Amino acid sequence: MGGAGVGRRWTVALVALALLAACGKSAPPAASNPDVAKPQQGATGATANFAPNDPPGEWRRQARDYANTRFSPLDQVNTTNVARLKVAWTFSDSNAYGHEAAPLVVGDTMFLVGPYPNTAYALDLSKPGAPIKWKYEPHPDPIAIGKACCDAVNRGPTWADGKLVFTLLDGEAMALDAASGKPLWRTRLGEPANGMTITMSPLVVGKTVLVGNSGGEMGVRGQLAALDLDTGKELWRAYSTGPDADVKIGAGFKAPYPWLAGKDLGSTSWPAGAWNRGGGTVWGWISYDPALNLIYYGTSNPSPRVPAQRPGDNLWSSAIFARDPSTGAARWAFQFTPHDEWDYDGVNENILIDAPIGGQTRHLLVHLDRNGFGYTMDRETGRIVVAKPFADINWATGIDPATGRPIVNPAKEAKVGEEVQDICPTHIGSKDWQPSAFSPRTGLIYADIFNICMDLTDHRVGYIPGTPYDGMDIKTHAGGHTNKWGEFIAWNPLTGQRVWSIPENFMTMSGVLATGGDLVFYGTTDGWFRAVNARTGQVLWSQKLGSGITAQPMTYLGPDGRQYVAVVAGVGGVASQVMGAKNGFPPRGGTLYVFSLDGVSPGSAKGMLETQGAGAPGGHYGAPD
Amino acid sequence: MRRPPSALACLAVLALAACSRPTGGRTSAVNPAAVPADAQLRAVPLGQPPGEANSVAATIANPYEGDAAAVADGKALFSSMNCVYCHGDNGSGLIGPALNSHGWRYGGAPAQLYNSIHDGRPQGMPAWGARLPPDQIWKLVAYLESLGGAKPPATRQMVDASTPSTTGPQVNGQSQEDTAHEALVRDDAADDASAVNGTQ
Repeated sequence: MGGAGVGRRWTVALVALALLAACGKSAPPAASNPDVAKPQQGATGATANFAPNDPPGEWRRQARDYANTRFSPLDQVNTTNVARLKVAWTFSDSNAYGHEAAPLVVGDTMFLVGPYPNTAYALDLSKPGAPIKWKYEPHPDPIAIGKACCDAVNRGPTWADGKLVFTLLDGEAMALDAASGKPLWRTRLGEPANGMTITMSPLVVGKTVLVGNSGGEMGVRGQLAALDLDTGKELWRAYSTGPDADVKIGAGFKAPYPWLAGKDLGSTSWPAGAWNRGGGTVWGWISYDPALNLIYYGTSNPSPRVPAQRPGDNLWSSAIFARDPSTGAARWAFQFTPHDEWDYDGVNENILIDAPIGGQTRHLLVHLDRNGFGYTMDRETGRIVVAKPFADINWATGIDPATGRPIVNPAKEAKVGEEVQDICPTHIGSKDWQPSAFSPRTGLIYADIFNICMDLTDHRVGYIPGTPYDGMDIKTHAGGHTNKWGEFIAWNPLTGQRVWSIPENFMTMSGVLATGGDLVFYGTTDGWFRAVNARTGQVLWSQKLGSGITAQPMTYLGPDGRQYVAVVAGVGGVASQVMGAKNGFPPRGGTLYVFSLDGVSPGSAKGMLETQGAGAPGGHYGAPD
Repeated sequence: MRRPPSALACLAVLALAACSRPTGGRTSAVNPAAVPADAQLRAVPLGQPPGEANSVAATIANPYEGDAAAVADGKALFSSMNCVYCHGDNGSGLIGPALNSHGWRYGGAPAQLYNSIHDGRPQGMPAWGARLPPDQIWKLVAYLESLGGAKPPATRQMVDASTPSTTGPQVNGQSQEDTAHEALVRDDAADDASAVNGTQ
């Protein structure tokens, strides 16, 4: 079960799949656009490793692949016909907490895990109307509802080796048998009474389940745990703060910059003992590079949110780790926002891309941070290649190329008892957890971002376990040159420039799907689901849904050979906290919408009712299943 | 130690409190005899007894009722105990439910507010009885009452039913202009729905 074994296995798999891919990309029936059928050189030349190269019609984990591209090769739905997208069927879970997860599709089954109480559903896609195959209710402890900073959300399950793996709000991870819905194991990773919750989606690498934690607003200490996929037994745990032994910084660690080298920086960059309740929680996304056998993930803001109470850089909060998934050992780490004063978590997704720079193929990661800088880094070393703002910001004037540290604007530093006005971005950043997508067909990153600024007053706080360790008094307003809360952008990760953008009146917080049909999909918090031409930024299709969208879109190939696009409308999370009181903000919901060309699905076929006996003499609607 | 005060004693103490109410500062104190006995508070049911219109909670007054200094003390506690980061500025709601509107999961009478703070509640509200003495909890209650959302249940029912809405239709006494978050925190208390409705 060593790392070498994992690496070797994946190398073999990669070679096999590369050969497969060479035989021809997925050839779904009725690909109608001759343009999209041709492989195209990306605009930037950037590509990605799509390991583990799942079947093209499936979506087995939230990011679809280890590289976190959220790119599907499916192209039945493309720029020429997307205007024909219509609702094929819907599914409601009647849960009013914020929905942030994408459904998964494996074989003929769709899997959903909702917000608290984290009920899991399997739907049978082979039957009309996709009826429920099984349902599992884990009954997590309701105490967690009042400990989650930003709504009782869940960012979705992952499928691996016939198991559905997901987290529970009350600080647990669990696995179900995906075929039957029977629980296989359930592992507690922290105590909600002390403020720890879990909202993130686990990543499975080989037989290792990687699970982080939430609670950076509650003085929770950040951690990433590795569990055995078969038993749920904990294999290792790496903390984000504290002595090197706890952070798993050892001989194999190479600091990308000199200021990040030194013994026990995770404790010495804090006031004595403060690291023990110092945040740096792990509630975002994990990427994996099978060739380097390294995982990448970010850490949250430090606790308390009031910087005056924690002089120092506060490592390794608001940072990124590269670790060996078999041991947890850190290979490198980098801090985006030293001594964070504004709640700029570093948890946003890291998209692994490969691109030619100066005649060499570089192994890169792209990270659009909450602090407003778009970082393109060398994922072997952690050194910055490009760092440019992707939104209008004023807390820093740039990134020092010699150190990678932001050049902070002293006028926008937080002050105790004094209001500092118009800090951009606001506490949730120029972009929050909502994951961007990468298309190898354009070589661009697509992201839904914010243009929100804040007036900030800090107050000193005391640590009381299980209560917020916070101290930020925030008033938000739209800002930036658009003065609009949301925006959808195409980003060139090699130059650090926008290619095009679509301003939105309401926050955009859905995450993004990119497809082989040269489409990118995103949703708005006022309920518009849109398809955009990935090359031009032209909106080709929009559909208003029953609630705002804070959940991630996905696409799959049904058992009938058709391409479907799916997204849940169930607004919530931090979007409802920031914008919920604004005029026009939609009510909550929890409805999955599944779209296809002309709305066709097995259930919609003409004559379906006749086949069920409705048209026959004495017939009735709906045969018992 | 604690003895249930007679109604007469309560009245006498309340009258006394009305006369000697401090007008400023943060040193508000009441005669300990005015503080409702623990046994009296334990007798307040979480829900409404079947068929009874009035809750026993309505008969227990906050010893700091209308005491400006106690409200100021309560507001300071609301901040120093980190309540504000869950329940929002002026109790407008954030992680936890809003405390400045008329919808209460566990009742909005002073004794019910006291018990919610003292005992904690299942969806994450800590039990502060272990950390705060009764007079400080009553000061927190006084602060919550000052936010305008707390009224004895019987009064509230009458007011909600008879006051014409200026903002649109009301559902279960709750204005539809309430934020989505507030609506959520009430809806999610489905398990406790009867308890909530029982006090309205």
